Amino acid sequence: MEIFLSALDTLWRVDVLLALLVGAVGGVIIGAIPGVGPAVAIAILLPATFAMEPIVGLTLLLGIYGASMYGGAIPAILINTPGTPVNALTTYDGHALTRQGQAGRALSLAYSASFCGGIISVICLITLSPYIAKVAPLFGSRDILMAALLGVILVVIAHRGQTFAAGMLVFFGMFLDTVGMESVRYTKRFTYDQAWLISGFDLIVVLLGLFALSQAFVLLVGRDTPTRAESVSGRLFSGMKELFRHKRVVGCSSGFGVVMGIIPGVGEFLAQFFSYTLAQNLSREPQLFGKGSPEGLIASESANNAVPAAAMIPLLALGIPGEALTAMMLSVFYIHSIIPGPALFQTQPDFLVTLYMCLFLVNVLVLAFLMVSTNTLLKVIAIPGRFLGACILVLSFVGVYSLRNAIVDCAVCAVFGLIGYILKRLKLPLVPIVLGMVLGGIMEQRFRASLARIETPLDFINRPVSGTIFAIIVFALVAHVTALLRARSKKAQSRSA
Amino acid sequence: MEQKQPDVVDIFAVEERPGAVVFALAVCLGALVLLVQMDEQTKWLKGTALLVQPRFWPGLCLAGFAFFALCHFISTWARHRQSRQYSFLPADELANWARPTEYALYFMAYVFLVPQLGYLPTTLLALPALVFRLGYRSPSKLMASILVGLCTVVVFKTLLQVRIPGGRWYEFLPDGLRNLLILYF
Repeated sequence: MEIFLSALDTLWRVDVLLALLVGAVGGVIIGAIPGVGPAVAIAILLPATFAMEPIVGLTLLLGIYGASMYGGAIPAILINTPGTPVNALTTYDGHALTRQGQAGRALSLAYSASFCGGIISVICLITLSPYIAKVAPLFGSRDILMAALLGVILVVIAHRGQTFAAGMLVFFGMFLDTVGMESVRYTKRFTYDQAWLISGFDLIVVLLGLFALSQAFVLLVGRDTPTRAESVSGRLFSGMKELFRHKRVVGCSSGFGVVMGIIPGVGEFLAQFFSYTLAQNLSREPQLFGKGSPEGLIASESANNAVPAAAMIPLLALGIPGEALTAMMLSVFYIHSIIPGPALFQTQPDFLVTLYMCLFLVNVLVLAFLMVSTNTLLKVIAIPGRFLGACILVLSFVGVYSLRNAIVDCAVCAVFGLIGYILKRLKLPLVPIVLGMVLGGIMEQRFRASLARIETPLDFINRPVSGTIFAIIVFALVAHVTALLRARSKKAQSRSA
Repeated sequence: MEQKQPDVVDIFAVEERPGAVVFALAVCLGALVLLVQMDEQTKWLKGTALLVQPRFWPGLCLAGFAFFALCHFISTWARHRQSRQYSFLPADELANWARPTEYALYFMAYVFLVPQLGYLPTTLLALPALVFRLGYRSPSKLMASILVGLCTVVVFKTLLQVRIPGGRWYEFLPDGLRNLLILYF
């Protein structure tokens, strides 16, 4: 109770409330603009949050993270263009409903499903917390090493069809993290006798290049496509009632979102696609999927909104980010010397409870904001892409230059922007590079810390937790290879037929 | 327009992209060059076990990088040979990769100008200039770019106080104005 009251006290501070409001509203607006997305916004804002108190900075970033997917549903439904990449599946049924003259109903359903997904996820986070607090201290260096290894392996195999590319990019990210002066023997690694390389590649500079600047380049060299969304009429409050009729879909999809959010390296994409398939299989009207099925819309929206809160679980409990956005947030923790991990639950429980409350309130605020502002937000969708690109270019400067006022950081950022642009053109994923950088650093550190207790390689997995995680790794690899072989034989069968 | 029935498998579908082979080859070669440089760029300490060598971890990363880069190249090459949809060296696509270089240089010019002219003046100059370069000539778009530039400076420098130094010419201004500009703009 004392912790709860202390958290409530923090939450009522003006700066925290303001960050909550700006994050929620800003997140919706950013999500609603096709081509921007939360990764760009968070990467740009990240250095600005370093000057804030950790709870204020994290509230702002969490607000953007949690709210952007709500906003992303608006262009997905109205103009068939997902605001954020994870809203891609929303276009299937959302826009089909718009074409049938039911845009208001589609938006209302999307908002309600997103809200339920978000709230269920926060409830899971709160419910799981006491157990996490008990289990997290059991994680020693070898266990965290194995958990990070699991994250690396999952991020590779989650990119099915691009496994080699994802593996290549993960190892590239891990290599980038090794560049510079290593902290144990103080030897230089791949510095080429350049002073600016001694401190290595800053994660935020790489992030800004890969996510913000590359997106600016994509928009700047692209073409403006005129977009016009008709204003929405009808009651946006009616979705909750309809949602109640599909509570099984909401429950299952949110469950998928929570589970996929917890598993490092998997994220929203798989959550929504699995929940969509399940909803289709369970539905009495599966033929409507892709043609304006409310269940399809509910499945994709509740699943992707259930991920953000759940993705905080591995970050807070073990200090292991599961995807790019939580990897960015990890730097906010580090900059304020708050080390996420087992000790956090014992030393700063009120900080964690405040975070949970913020996540809860973000969902409430966003829903309230959307109910009254949807028609106003339609203007944001119409901003030309190249104009946005110019704005992102200028905003990226703040993010990167304010770190150390170093021109070389900006040059590195520009190079990573170009690399990110080429990767985007080739439709190769960027997230493995970031996770490689973050998880690679964690793995090296934990690997070295474990060495004192290691005599044979088997000692890495002789603890109950590390052994269990190793078993999960083996299972995941076997399942992946089996699925690949099955897909190949299916393909061969269909060819011969 | 009828949309196709969505399928989970759709997200795993990999389409061949122009330039994929040449990119895979370039990464593969890059990884090999880094591997070759390992001896020169990392240290091997005598009498120290392999696992605690400073070379061990970057070596592991580079070995993984090179292995996956090679696998990626082989699979991309095989796909390319099967489909023959694009040429090995698609000039159009390579030109496309170079197109953002102009904006990267623009970004760097902006970076160089900020410490000279100051954050506010440079932003109020650079953003409308870029918007003009992009072909937006209407007064409303140019005004909007000025407004966005102003808001950016006010939000980040004035309100959030991010660390961006004042312009060099601010030094020549009267004390009060100079302090105001250095602190807030």
